[in-house]
Amino acid sequence: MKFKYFKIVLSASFIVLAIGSFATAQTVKDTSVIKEAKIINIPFGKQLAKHLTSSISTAYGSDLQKTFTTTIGNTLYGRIAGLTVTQGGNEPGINSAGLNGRGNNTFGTGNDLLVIIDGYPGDLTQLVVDEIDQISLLKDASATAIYGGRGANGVILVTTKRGTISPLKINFSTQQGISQAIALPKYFDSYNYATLYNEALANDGLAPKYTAADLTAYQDGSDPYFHPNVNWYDAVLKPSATVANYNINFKGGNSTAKYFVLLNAITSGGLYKNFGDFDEESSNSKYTRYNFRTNIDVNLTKRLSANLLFGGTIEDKANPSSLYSGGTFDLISKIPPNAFPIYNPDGTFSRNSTYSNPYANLLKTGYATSNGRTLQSSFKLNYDLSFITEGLSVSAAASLNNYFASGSNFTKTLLTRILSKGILGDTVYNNNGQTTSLSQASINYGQYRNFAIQAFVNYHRVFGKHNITALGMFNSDNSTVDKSSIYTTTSSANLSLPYKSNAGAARLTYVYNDKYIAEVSGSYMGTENFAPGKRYGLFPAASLGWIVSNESFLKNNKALSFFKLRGSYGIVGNVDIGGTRFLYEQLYPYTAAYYLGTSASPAFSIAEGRRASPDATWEKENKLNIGFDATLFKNWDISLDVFNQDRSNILVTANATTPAYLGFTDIPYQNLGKVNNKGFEFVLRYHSTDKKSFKYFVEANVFYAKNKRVFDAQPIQINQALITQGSRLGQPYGLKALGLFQTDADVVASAKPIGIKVRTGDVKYEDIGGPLGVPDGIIDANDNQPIGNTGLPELTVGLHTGLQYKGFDLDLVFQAVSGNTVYFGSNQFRPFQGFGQVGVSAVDRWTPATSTTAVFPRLSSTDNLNNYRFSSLWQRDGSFVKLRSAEIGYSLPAKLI
Amino acid sequence: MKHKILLFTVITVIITIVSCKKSIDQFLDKAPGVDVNEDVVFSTRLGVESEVSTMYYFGMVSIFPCRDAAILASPTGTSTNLQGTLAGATDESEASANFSYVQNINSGGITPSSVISGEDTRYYGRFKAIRYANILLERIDAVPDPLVTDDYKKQVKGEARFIRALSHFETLKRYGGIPIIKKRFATGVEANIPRSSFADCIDFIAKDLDTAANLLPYTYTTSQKGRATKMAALALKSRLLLYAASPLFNTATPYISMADPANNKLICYGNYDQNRWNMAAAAAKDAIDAAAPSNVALIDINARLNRNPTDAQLLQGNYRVAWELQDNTEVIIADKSYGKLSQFNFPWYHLVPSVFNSFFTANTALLNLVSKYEDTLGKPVTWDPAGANDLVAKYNSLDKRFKQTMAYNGGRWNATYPIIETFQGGAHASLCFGGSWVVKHVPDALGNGGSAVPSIAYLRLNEIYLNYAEALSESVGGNITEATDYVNRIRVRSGQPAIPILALPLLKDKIRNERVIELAYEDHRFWDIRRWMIAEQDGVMKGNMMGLTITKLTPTTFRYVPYVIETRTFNRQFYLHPFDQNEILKSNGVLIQNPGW
Repeated sequence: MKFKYFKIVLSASFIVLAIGSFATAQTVKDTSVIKEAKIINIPFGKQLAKHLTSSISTAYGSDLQKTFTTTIGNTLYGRIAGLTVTQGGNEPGINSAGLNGRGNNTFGTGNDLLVIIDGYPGDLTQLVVDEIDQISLLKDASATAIYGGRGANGVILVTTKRGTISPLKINFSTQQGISQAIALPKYFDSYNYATLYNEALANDGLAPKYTAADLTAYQDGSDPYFHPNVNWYDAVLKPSATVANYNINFKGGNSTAKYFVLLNAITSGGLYKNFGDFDEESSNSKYTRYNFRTNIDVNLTKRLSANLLFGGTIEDKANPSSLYSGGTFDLISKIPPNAFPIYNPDGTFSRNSTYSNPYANLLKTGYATSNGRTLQSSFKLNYDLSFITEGLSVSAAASLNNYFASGSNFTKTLLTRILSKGILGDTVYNNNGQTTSLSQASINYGQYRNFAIQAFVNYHRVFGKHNITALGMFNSDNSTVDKSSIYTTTSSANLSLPYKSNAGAARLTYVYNDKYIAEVSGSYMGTENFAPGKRYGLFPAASLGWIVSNESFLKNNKALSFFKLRGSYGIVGNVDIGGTRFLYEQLYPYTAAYYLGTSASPAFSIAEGRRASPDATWEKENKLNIGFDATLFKNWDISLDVFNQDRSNILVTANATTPAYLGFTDIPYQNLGKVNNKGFEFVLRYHSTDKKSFKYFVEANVFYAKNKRVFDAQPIQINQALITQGSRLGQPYGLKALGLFQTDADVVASAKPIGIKVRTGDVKYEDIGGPLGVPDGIIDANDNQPIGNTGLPELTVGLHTGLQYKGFDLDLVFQAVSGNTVYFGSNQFRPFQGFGQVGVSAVDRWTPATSTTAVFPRLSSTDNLNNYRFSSLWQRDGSFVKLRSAEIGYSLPAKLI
Repeated sequence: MKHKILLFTVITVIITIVSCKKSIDQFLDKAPGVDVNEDVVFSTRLGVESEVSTMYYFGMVSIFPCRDAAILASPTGTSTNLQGTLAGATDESEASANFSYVQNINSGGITPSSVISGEDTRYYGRFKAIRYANILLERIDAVPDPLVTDDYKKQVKGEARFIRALSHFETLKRYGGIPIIKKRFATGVEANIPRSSFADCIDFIAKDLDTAANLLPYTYTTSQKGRATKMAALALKSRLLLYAASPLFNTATPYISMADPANNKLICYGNYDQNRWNMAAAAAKDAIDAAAPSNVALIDINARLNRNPTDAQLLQGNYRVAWELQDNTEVIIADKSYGKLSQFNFPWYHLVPSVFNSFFTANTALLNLVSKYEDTLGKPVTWDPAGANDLVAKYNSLDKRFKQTMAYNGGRWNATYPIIETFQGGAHASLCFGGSWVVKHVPDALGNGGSAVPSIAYLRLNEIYLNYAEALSESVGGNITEATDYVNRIRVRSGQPAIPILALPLLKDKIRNERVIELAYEDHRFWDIRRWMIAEQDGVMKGNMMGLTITKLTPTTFRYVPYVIETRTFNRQFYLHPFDQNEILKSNGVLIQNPGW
């Protein structure tokens, strides 16, 4: 047993000290993909890694444990080739990183990976790493075709830990950390605000607002009520919050029963000050999640066995003012430091006519709580039919997943007073609102219920050189999603009907002589969303593999100890096509009232709605994947996948061709859109020889994908630069900034927006279009063009290294991305806009003195309609390299324990 | 043994699969619900009525500013809020909002890309109305509900044809010959319909209106007012044929020739035929003859009661009642898209100036129009270009309809604003470029926070009288006496002296001037200017637009000085609208663009 007594983990926002015992299965061990007996989880089964002909990348729970965070998505950075993880927020309970498999493949609304937990669709964010055995990304047609109409976006396949035949093992661990905001936006204080505001006024040709006496008062703080200097971040946030994780799990089993039992608790405090400690009608910000899991495998008789998997969570969240903190963070990023003090001289809370007082909001306007429960359960019976023929078995399974979240909002309003100075120098208050008592409202945050049944026939047998594995299965599921409280405008009972699907699927794998591998798989799947007779589709795939190194000419070759070529091709679907449900139906919705008669009472009007699309169908993706796996000089593992994915049948409206005189209320949807996505994944790993006391490995995974809109039915564009066909998905379109105006002559000579006074120091834009498709001397939406890259990186690199020397070990994960663009759109880059404050980025503003070095435009005292348009001036290359996880451990020698 | 078990298993599986097949299929079926589909709509009279009222909602034309998103939503999802009426694009007024769409027309800035958002926002809505009308015509005969009687079927068919004709007419008057839509198109059917010739369009619309007139009743019960009547069909036909006979269309050479002269028939008749005026006159007479059985009559009660009405009575005079009172006897058909609304609701807030506490603002009257008002003796009124101090006397001398149209300095807006001050520094002068606001269409009931149902008459009897007079005056062997008589009916009911029988050129001018005054701000002027082809005359849609600067000298004396508000541009190609650029591109050359665009 290994027992680490300390462990330090650095991650995106946590510093953690952890004690406990940890499974260290993958720490600097040989995880070479071709290890003879290594087994990979595949859909509804397992396969020897060396026989794999699909494109699958896997991470192990024990690795993910090294990144300590409250959600699982944030542990996946840089771990899995082909998986792009984009940063989500870090608010406890709602933070979830965005996951994309092989980038973006559709401009339809359904681009989400299918998450399968132990065989059934589930919610990844509800799991903790300690219960995860493997997480795999299934990428090519061969791996995903068995999921039929759900597999096209890729599949995240999660398997939870199971018991093994061993005596009882108890693992206990705890991790204690503090969480800090890595970077809060920085704004100038009152003195600098006032100085810069005067500059902005001068730029606009207006008289200064702040006198020298004002500036002195801001500087020396002598008049905190009428010349306040409030840093609202300091006022409402504390420097750090604690995060803790407690985990205990039990594992063991014998030939009759095996079990894995886990209890986990995560607690996290938000960065707000403890407002609940100051006022009993507020609450501290806190988040707790309890996870539990019981996985039991039982052999009931000689032939009959059962698997009972049972997991769930209980999640509690409380937050002052409102459940989510976005509104407050937005507010404190806007209020100028000199706008108003926290408290008025008379002890009431202050505010001004534009902004409310965030401190008062958090302390005195109540709080919100939420409580969520999930339950994931499945039961499977397996019957061994080897008495009929060896290797034959059948199984039947059922699963019930359930989620429900509700909460309470405790709200009250508060009297705040706007402070001002009267003509005579007296203090004048204007009341705003009134203080009420706390009221409570219950909120349903949504629920879903997912019921599925499955039946399997499995066959596996080796006859001499022939190795055959076959699977036939049936799946039927039914899920009801209620989001009524979130989407209150649900106009039709249709939307609350359950989502259903039926599928028959099969897979046949044949390996000859450990050299040649052939696999066919497919699914015949139907969903409720399409017209009767058009609900079912066949999604087939085939793959081939050739283990070249097992050929006689390479046998025992020292340099190339393993080499496998593989390729796959198939068609996979995506039934999550967007639009509205049941597009095949012609609906006749309520339109508007017409008031016949003189009494002006409305006549009920129903008319033909959006034209039905009787042929609406799923998106289809033709996936081609070619790759190899190799081991060189024993210590080098290389793996390469090259892919080409053609998505078609993406839902579009035929804007470009449907004439208005047909009189359609809305142009019907058609499955005409097409996207191409191609790229590669490359994994290179070096590991030292096992025997030595100093062991290490280095692994790099590289993923590159570039997509293209092949056809998107965009309405005809007069301005060529606005044509989206051929561009990447999510390509931003905006104005191209040519720099900042330096001379009045240039201002006069250049194209400008109409109705706006443009001056030197303002942004100059390229005039490329107009209503007639040619430059018209006016800057407007006709001049938009593709600027920068999308937010999703084209290139993602993960670098993972570990070393071990005696009891010490070190593990580092880096993630690097390139080919993405970030946009400076936040308040810190918008000085004085919307009555806001001024960020420190204003040091790079244009002034006559800094005209040659300025990065950002001149300051304006009011909303500037020229400078803050969506333009390339505010775009920056989004490439980065980040250390995502670092762990130093020391394992106590076993004899000490 | 082994084989028996295997056989047994296989048979069991097959039986299970076969027996499950049905339930598996049904599993994906949609639960029976209350979804309304077309068959449900066309199974009851109630359903038919709901389709009919939708057809009116989209098809009935409003002379008020247009905004409704359901009507305006284009297939690309954009919708535009038209700020104010088309009056601001003519010599009637200047829109006080500088963001009003008409400013773009006045600067000559309409393009094929901006025509739908810039004027014709109901373009899509009209085609929707045509589709609904065609669906009704297609399905009404087969509705099984016994409440759908033969009489009701006749009526609905008549209504559908009326709305179909109206929607085609409204497109025709903007674009010339258009694609004629006689049936509904199913999804997936290739549809690329060319423009029909102007003559064919007129014939198609006239035929629909004739059919409608034969099917429709003269009157409805009070609760059904607003539906198309026999007279509505006849009155629309009168306007249709009047437009068709007018110089813009009734000509051998169009305002600008098409690139291929063979296409000129799309925008005009291709010859001049004076008999078209006779047809217009006959159509107007048919409509007038239908007035009595339709209970339609001019409002002239006050004039009949008192031949020398006082100003106070005339403030509430015939003319004002005719535009203010909802469903008055003069109304032939009106838009009924709105219930009772306060002035903070659309459409009022584009008709009420901001100085009267409106969200938006409205039209200010131009001197170009005001100077067309005669005095009460029937003589032209001269406005001194250098200005004068007798504004109050001037206003008092004008045709009584002036005070029932304008919100002038010293006049009344409503109970909340009993005295209007548009002099420099006055309470209601802000943005009042012309010197007067326009009170026409804004009922007194909006005062004191009140609300009112907008009275949006599309066709009124007074217009038909003027159509008749104009057509007669242009006809072969036109009856001048009768023309004069119908003009005088309009004049006399507002207290203006009758005109004598005049020589033709003089009579034509009088008739046109009468039309300007009587139908001011009713969405006629813009179209009349175009069909008379007078847009390029100075001060009509081109050249200087004049306003008054009013100065308060004493509490009762005011000085006026005319000044140029703006100089407008009119490009000759704007005698017809350009088709939307997207529609041209979509048609792949089938839809031919109008000349000059």
